[in-house]
Amino acid sequence: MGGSQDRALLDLLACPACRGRLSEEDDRLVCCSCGRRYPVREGIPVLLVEEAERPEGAT
Amino acid sequence: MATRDVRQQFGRSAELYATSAVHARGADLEVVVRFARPGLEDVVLDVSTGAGHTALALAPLVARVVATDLTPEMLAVARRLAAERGVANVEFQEADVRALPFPDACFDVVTCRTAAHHYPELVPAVREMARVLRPGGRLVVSDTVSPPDEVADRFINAVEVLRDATHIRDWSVEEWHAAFQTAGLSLEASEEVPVEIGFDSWVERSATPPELREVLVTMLTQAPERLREVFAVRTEPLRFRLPKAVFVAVRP
Repeated sequence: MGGSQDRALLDLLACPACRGRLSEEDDRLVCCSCGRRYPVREGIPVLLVEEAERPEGAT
Repeated sequence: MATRDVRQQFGRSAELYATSAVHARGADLEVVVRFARPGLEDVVLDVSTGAGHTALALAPLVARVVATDLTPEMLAVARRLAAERGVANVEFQEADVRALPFPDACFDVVTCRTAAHHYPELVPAVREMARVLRPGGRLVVSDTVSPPDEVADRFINAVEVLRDATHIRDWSVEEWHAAFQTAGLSLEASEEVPVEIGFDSWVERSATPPELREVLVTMLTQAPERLREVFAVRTEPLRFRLPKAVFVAVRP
């Protein structure tokens, strides 16, 4: 990730769980609404709900 | 389904899909591109892109393509093909058609080619693809379809499941029509593009175990004549024909 094209891509993406906006944080994409954190593997975002880390404190 | 099973199945054989004639040069690909009516400003989503053949065919004709798949190995192959062809406007993501990682109404075109027979249910997938289409946007799907005859339908789906355990169903034309309607899309055009299947490469791609290949040979060659005619089964080498259809449905 990084660069202006990726910025445009982030604008197009939404959290697959709650459709909140995603932002980039330490090689992960983090949902601004529900806090789920999605990994980026080999440069490809893994936007699968079952692969997401839940935010701390969530059940 | 088991998301895991599909990922295993295609993780194993991803490389074979890069060069498969059915996938890379199938006659339906030209129809998909025509039905998509690609415009230079268009943003396209290619769902279940596999080795990326549809995404790469559309990329030079549109502004950008987002290509998703459930299987990382497939996306790696697609990304390599894009780099080899110098295609720079395709982005790849791992995603599930049942929960696409996009806001409502953000794509001009959504394509889905040779994939829906792996979807556990058709309607939720079509609904989700319709959701991300902007009004006036086109959903273009292409897949093998079951014949209207119920016996032929059950026969070919049994053959497909034995070949590939992740096969769910070749949906019938009627089931596609109903799914478009339920998802609020209106069918604009459709075209039948039968696909010639060479048995050996077909079971090679799916890594079908040898014993099941034997069963499949028996099923295809020993089927009653009427069924052999429906699927144009021929021998030496063993080959047959699967009905395939391309649809374009528009979000009003």
